[in-house]
Amino acid sequence: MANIRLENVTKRFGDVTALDDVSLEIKKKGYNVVVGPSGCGKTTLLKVMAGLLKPESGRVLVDGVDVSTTPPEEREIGFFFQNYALFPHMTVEENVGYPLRIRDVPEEERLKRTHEVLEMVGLAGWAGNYPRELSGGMQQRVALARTLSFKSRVLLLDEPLSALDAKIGFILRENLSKLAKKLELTVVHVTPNQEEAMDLGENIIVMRKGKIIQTGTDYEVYTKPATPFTAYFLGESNFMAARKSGEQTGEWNGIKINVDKSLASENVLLSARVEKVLFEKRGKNTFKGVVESINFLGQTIRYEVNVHGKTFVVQTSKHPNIKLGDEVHVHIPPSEIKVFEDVDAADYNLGFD
Amino acid sequence: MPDIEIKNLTKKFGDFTAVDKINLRIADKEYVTVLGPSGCGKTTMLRMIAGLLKPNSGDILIDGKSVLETPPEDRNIGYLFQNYSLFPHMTVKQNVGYGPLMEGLSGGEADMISIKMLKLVRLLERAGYMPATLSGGMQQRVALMRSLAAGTRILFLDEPLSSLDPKVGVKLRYEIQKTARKLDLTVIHVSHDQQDALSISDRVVVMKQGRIVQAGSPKDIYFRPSTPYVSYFIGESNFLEVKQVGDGEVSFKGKTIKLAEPAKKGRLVVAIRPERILLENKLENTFDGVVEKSNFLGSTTKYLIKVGGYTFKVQTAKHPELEKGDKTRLYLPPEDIMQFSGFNLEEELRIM
Repeated sequence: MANIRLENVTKRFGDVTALDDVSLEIKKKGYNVVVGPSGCGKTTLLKVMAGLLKPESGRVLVDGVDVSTTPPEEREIGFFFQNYALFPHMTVEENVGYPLRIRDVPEEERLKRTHEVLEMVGLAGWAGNYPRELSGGMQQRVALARTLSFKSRVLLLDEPLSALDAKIGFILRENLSKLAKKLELTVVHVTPNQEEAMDLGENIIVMRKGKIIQTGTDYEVYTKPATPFTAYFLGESNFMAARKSGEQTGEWNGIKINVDKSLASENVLLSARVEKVLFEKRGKNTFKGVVESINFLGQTIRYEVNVHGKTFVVQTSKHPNIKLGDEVHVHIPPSEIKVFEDVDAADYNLGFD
Repeated sequence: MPDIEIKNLTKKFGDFTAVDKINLRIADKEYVTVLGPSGCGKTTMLRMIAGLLKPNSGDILIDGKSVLETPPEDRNIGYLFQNYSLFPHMTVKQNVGYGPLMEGLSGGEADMISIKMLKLVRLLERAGYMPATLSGGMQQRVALMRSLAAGTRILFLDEPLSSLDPKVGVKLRYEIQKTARKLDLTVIHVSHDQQDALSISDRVVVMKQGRIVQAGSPKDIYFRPSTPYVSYFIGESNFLEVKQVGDGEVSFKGKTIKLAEPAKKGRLVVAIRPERILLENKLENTFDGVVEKSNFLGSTTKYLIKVGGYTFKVQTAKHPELEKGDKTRLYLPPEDIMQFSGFNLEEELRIM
C-alpha cells in the first residue's frame, strides 16, 4: 500500500511530448487503471513512476518522499512491462520465485507464494518446465506471476493481458482483481482496452495526447464524461453536432433534439450512449431511420440505423424482431443526452480515424 | 462461385495432431469464423487451405476441384495477417495496386482498381501517403484492400484485429464485414475473440484440440451450445452440477430447479448465462443470496452473488443498485437453463 504522486511531470522524446505537465495522485490501496489509445503517453507515465525514465521536469513522490532521483531498484515498486524477459536457464518456478530469493525470503514461504501466483495465472502444472517449452502467451503469464510473487508497495502493470487469448485475458482479469483485494495492493494498470478498464478499475484515469483528460471512479467517468473523448473512448456513444435552435433544443441533421438543460453556445456536441437509445415511438426526440446493419453480440444486439444519411447506433439486450432494411423509430430520452459546449473542432470527428 | 470443402483433413507435427480429420463446407459468399484458443489448430487449418502447409491426409476442394496440387499463388485467395506488412517505400495507392500490376495489368488499370478499393474503405484521400504516416487501423485497411485488389473472391483473415487498439479493432471488424458483403466474398476468419466471431459471422466454427466442437449460426452457438466448453468459451455461464429428481426437475444444494424440458439422463450439468438470471422473487427457481461483489461495467453491472457455497455471476443492464453485503433474490427462468449430460465439467472448462 502506498501513495504515489506525480507533480507537473513533462517527458519529451525529441519533438514529441509524451507527458505534458501531468499531475496525478494515486491513493493508497485499490485498483487504478490508466486507459487511452496507442501513443497517448500511458506507458511513459508508468515508466516515470517506476524510475525507468527520467522526466525533463516535475517530481515523483511515493508516500510523500521525493523519489525523482531514486533508482528503480530502490523504489520498492513491482512492475511488469511488455518487453519482459524470463531467465532462460531457470525453470518457471525459479523465475517466479526469483524476486523472493534475492530478498532472502525463507524457502517454505517462497515456494508457497510461488505456487499461489502460478495457480492464479493457470500455470501450476508447469512449475518445472523451462520458458522455451512454453508458448508466448504462457511466457507472458509467467512474467506476470513473477511480478506478483513479491508483495511490493506498488504494482505497475503495463498491458499485462494484451497479447493473450481473449478468454484467458478475461479469466486473468478476475484473478488479478481478487489477488489485489486479498493482498491490499496498490495497482496501476495500463491498457488501451476500455472493457478491461471498466472491469478492473476502481479508479480510472483517461489519457489522451500526453495529458490526463479525466480521473474518477468507473461510475463517474462513464456516466459523467468530462469531455467528448471520454464519452467516445469508454463504451460507445452517438455524437450529434448540433446548432442551438431553442433554449433546450438543438438541431442535428434536420432533426430537433431536446435536452434537459439550457444550451449556452451556438454550436454544441450532443452525445447519447448506444444502450440508452430505444426503439420506440415516444413524442419528442423520436425519429425515423432504416436498419442498415445488425450485429449479434451475445448479451446484446447492435443495430446501425441510417437516419437521413447519418449512422445512428442502438444497442439493446432485448431481442426485438427487427430485420435488415426495416424502417424503425428511434427515441433518445432527453435525460440521456450529454451536452458538450466549447468543443475542440477536432473532437467533432471523434472515431473517424 | 467459390465454395470450399474440406474432407477428413489431418495435419500432424511429429506426435502432435494439430488438425484431426476435419470436415467442413463453406458456401459461396459465406462469412465463417473459426474460433478457438491458441493451439487449437485453427491457423494450421487455414494455412492448409491456402496451400502454405501440406496436409498429411484428407482433401481440399475449391469450386468442387481438389487443390492439393495447386500452388498457393494459383489458389486465388486473399490473405490478411495480424501484422499488416505494407511495402514501406510504396504509397498507399501503389501498395493496393501491386497485385493487379503483378497480374499483368497496365499501370493505369492498376491505379483505377486501387482507387476503387480505397474508396470502399474511405481512404481515397490518403492514396498518395506513405504507410508509415497512417495509423494502425488505416494501415490494416490498406492491407485488406491490397489482399483483395487482384480480384480474388476468397478472403482469409488470420487474427487481423489482434494487433490493433481494441477500439480501432471493433470499428475495423464492421468495416471488414461490410467490405465482404459489397464484394461478395467468401470469407474464413480465424480468431480467438468470441465477440469478433459472434458479431460479424454467418457461421461460427468452434474448435478445440484439432477438432470441431460445434458449427452453427452465432445465435445457435450462443443460445444452444452443444457442450459446456462452447458455453464457457463464448460468453459466460454459471454451471451447476445437479441431480435429477423429477421429470423436469433437478436438485442443486437441496433446492429444486424446474426446467422447461425433461431432464436429460446421466451425469448432468445445467448452465445459465449471467444476463439471463433475474434479481426477482418468483414462486419457483428462486434463491436467497448475498452480494459479494458489485462491478459497474458501463452499459451493464455485474454481480457476484453467493448462494450457500456457490457464487452466481449475474449481469444486468439496470444501474448498480446493490452493494456488497446486500441480500437479494435470484430467479432462474426455466426456459433459459441449458442442459449438458455426460460431461466432465472440470475437463470441459480447462482452457488455460
